[in-house]
Amino acid sequence: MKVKIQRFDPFVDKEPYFQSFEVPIPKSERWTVMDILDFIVVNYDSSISYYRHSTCNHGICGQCALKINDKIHLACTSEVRNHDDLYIEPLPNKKIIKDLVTK
Amino acid sequence: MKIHESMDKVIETDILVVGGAGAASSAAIAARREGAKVVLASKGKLGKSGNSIMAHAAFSMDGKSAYDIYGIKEADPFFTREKLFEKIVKQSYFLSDQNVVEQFIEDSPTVVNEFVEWGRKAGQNFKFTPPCYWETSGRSIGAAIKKSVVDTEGIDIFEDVIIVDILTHNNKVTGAVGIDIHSGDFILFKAKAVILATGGYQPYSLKCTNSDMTGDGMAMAYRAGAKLADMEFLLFIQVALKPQSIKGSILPFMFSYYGFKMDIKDVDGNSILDEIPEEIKSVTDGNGVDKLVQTYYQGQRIFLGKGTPINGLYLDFLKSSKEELENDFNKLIGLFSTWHKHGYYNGDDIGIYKNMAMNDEPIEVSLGNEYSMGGILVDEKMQTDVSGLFAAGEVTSGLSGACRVADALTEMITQGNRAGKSAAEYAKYTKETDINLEQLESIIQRILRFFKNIDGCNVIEVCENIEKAADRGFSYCRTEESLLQSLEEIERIKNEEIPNVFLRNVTSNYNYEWIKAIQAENMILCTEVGIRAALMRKESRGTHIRLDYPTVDNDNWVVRIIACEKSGSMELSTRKPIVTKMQLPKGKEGSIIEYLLKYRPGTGDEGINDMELSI
Repeated sequence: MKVKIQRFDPFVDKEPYFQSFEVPIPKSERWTVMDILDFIVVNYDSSISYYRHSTCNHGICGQCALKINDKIHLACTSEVRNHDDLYIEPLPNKKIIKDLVTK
Repeated sequence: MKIHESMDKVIETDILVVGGAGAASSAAIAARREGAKVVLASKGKLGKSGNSIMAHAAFSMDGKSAYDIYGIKEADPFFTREKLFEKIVKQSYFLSDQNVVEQFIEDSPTVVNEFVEWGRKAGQNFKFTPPCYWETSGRSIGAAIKKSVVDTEGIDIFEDVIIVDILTHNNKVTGAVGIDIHSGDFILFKAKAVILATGGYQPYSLKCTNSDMTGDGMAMAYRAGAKLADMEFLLFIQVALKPQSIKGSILPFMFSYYGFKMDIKDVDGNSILDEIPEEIKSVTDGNGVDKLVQTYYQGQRIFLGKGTPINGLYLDFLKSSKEELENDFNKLIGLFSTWHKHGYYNGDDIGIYKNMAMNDEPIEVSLGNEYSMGGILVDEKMQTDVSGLFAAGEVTSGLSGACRVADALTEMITQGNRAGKSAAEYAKYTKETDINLEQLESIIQRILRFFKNIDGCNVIEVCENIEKAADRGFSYCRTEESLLQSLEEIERIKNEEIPNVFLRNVTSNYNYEWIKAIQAENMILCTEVGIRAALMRKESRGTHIRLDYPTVDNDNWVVRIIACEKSGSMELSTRKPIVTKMQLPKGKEGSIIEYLLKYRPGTGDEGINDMELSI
């Protein structure tokens, strides 16, 4: 599936841009958006930043909320098989720390 | 005057509490009540991080205290402090330090009672269940934790700050160094005392824990000159393997705990539960020891090649009728709707498993790491060997020995409370000490060196390699050969991969790779201690199951294995557990199961009559 992720490092970039990845996931596997991001950082680009250092992965802590295909979801419980492509952006109306991490 | 050019901020306080859940909150509040200046630094969000929120939460006091002191008439007054003491010590396989157990038992009623109040103030539902425990959700525990700290005036809270090392001078705490994870700024905390409440270490790929449990506190304590103990003992629990979206969920454990009629089968379709001797049921009570018994029987089956390609087993409900199943699921969903969205357990959709169950589809499950019994060596005041360094909760060792049966949630708040009091008393009579600048410089160099490489290993992959190394031979079943393989892998990662870690992210604002590298060093240290201790302990005891030494050897091995740093090397030694009431046993038992049958609570020379726990 095609995954587009918004990148932006306020110390390096003038403005946000998008990076695309083609991720080979069988839909029957019931991966979540968090699984996709974890896969990308291991296999494609380890610099992609999302709040991950203290996360429950089971919809408890609420720290992985992201804008996914224009709607706000918890990445760890949002299953990708419900989508054809993924368009992942940081939460709106917050200061971007880096990529998908906001405060 | 800037203390060091790399320090972006300097915070001065009496007591620094490191952690973001129950032990940290309890410690911070207790210290504050003694009038100390308190700063709390949590790696994640306060009350939304660590293992506390992952629990399906139960915490308790002994039944007699609940009945007599707090007037709870549903409590079982026959479940006394003495019986709880006996249970904890016996089922720790006598490795508990009994002074630490006594502290837990004596202090927990007051601390637990107050925590129940915090739950009420936070608008959470803490459901009292006989004989003496409160049931709730992990998220509710977190909400109570946050409320308690925020409502206690004067605790300075720092969130998303990782403490990377403790500062000492002449074996005395002078503070700590932290990094603001969002900004990448260095923070110097000057403190008279530090309380580590950083939780456990879970080195394996399959676990039911939070992503922040990387053994930071244990590693920092070790580097500061404190001792670690019991690192070879880690607790496993039944967790989901499939589907991927709920991997790591403890729902499979819940089915067993809430009495569903079920079976666990290996890849050939052979039942594992049928292999478990009937008599062991008289010892298991739905919790602590159950996990160990399941680990023993299921773990061996997996280790001997009878698991699925991803080390799974199959859970099915063929023993249950469809009406019973429908009832059981509805009851479970009803109970969980007290705390969770209807039909869910946290973010896990129970309906997925209900459908599979009704269609006779087996669920792939396995054993996931839940908790580490081992950790920092402390006394009953939560003091370590380093002056001014205290620890509380899962980061410590001593309460549970080789197998935990006491509630981890009760442990964290009870020990946190004691640590806060001890640290405050210490700080009262301690003068502030200057920072050792040489030590600070060396810590900064160690932390910043990861930025130097312009090519090399992907640190996220390195962390996965650490997990694979632990899985390989340090897991629920061990042999000399498997442990040596794990050790070889860990050493290779330490010596070849870590020095070559390359951070693709070059700026320090939310540099997850950098944080992962820092954590990886802590995890490697903890895992190395655990593997070496497992190699040294040539017997089986509690959760340390050695297929090449299946006997529980009370003639030679009723000792704790202690690790510390001496002249740059890891040194292992042993010492007997501290005895206050129950003498250490002699003799050998054929297996950890035979031990449980012989040393069951309510029997033996201690003069306690036979009893049935009503859990």
